Amino acid sequence: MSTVFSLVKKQQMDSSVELARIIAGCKSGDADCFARIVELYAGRCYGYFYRLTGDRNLSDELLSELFVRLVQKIGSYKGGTFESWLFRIALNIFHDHLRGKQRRKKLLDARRTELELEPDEAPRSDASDEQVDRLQVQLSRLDADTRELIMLRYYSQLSFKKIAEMRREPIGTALSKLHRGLKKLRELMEG
Amino acid sequence: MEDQTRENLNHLLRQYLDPTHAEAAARDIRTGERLLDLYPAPTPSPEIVARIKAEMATSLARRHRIALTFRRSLAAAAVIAFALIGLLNRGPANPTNVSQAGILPAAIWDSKDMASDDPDLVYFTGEVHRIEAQLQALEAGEDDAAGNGSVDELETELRQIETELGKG
Repeated sequence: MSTVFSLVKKQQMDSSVELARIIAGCKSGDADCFARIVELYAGRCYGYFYRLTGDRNLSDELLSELFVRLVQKIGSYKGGTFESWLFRIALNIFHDHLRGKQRRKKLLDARRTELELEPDEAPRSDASDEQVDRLQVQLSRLDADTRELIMLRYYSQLSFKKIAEMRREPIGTALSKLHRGLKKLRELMEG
Repeated sequence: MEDQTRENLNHLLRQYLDPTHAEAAARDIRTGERLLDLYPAPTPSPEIVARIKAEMATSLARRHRIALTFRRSLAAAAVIAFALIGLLNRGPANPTNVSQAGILPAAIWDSKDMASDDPDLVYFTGEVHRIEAQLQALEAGEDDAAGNGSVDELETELRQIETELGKG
C-alpha cells in the first residue's frame, strides 16, 4: 500500500516538475511550451465552459480567448497552483461573457421598444443547436451561481480553500452550496 | 475525474457538521461528482485546438515584435539622451565680451586737458580769445571813429556764442 502511495506521490511530483518547466518555457516565450499547455488543459477548460454555457461554438470562442489571454498574462503568474491561476482567468472570461450578453440583451430590448415591434421569433437559447445531454438539461435547472461552483470544483480540481478564496466567500458557504447543488442535481437526474 | 489535489473532504466537513451529517454530505458530494464523471462534457475538436495554438503563436509573435520595437525605441532614446547630455555638458560657455560704447571719444575721455583736445572747445576757446582781444582793443581806444558799431557787433557775436554753448 505504501509502495502504491509513494508511486502516486512520485508521479505527482514528476508532473509538477514538468509543469514548472513548461511554465518557465512559456514565460520565456517558447511557443512549444504554450502548445503543451493547450494540450494539458484544453479538455478541462472546454468542459468547464461547455457545462456553463451549453454551447459548443461559444465554448470554442471562450477557450480561444482563455489561451490568448494566457499568452498575455503569463508574466503575472508568480507561482502557486497553476490551476487556480488559470481557472481564475477562465472564471473572469465567463463573467465578461455574461456581462456582454446582458449588455447586448439590454440594447436589443431598447431597440425593440423603440421600433415597437414584436420579435418575430423567441430568442434562441444558447443550446438550441446543441445535441444536449441529459446532465446538461438538469444542470441548467440549477441556479447559475451553484452551477458555476460545481463546475469550478469539478474541472479545476482545486481544494475548497482555493475555491472559496477565488470566489471570495467563506469555505463553509462554498461547501454548503456545493453539497446542496450536487444533491439537487442527483435528485433531478433520478426524477 | 481523478481527485489528486483535493483535501480530505470528510475531515473538512466535520469542521462544520456533526460526524453523521458530515458523512452523509460527503456521500452526496461524491455521488453528485460521479454523475459528472458518467456524463463527460464534449472535448474540443482537433481543429479548434490547432486554431488556438496558431492564435497563441500569432499573439506571441506580435508580443515579440512589440517588445523588440520597444527595446529599439528605448535604445534610440538612450542614445539621443546621452548625446544631448554630452552636448549640454561640454563645459561652461565662454563669457561674452561686453563691449561698451562711449558717449565721448576715448581720446577726450582720457584727456587731461579737454580744452585743447576737443576740437569744438578749441574753436570756442579761440573765439573767446579773439573777442577778448577785440574788447581790450576797444578799451584801449584802438577802434575806428564809429566805435559804437564794433561794440554792437561784438555783443551780437557774444550772444551767438552763448546760444551755441547753451545748445551744447
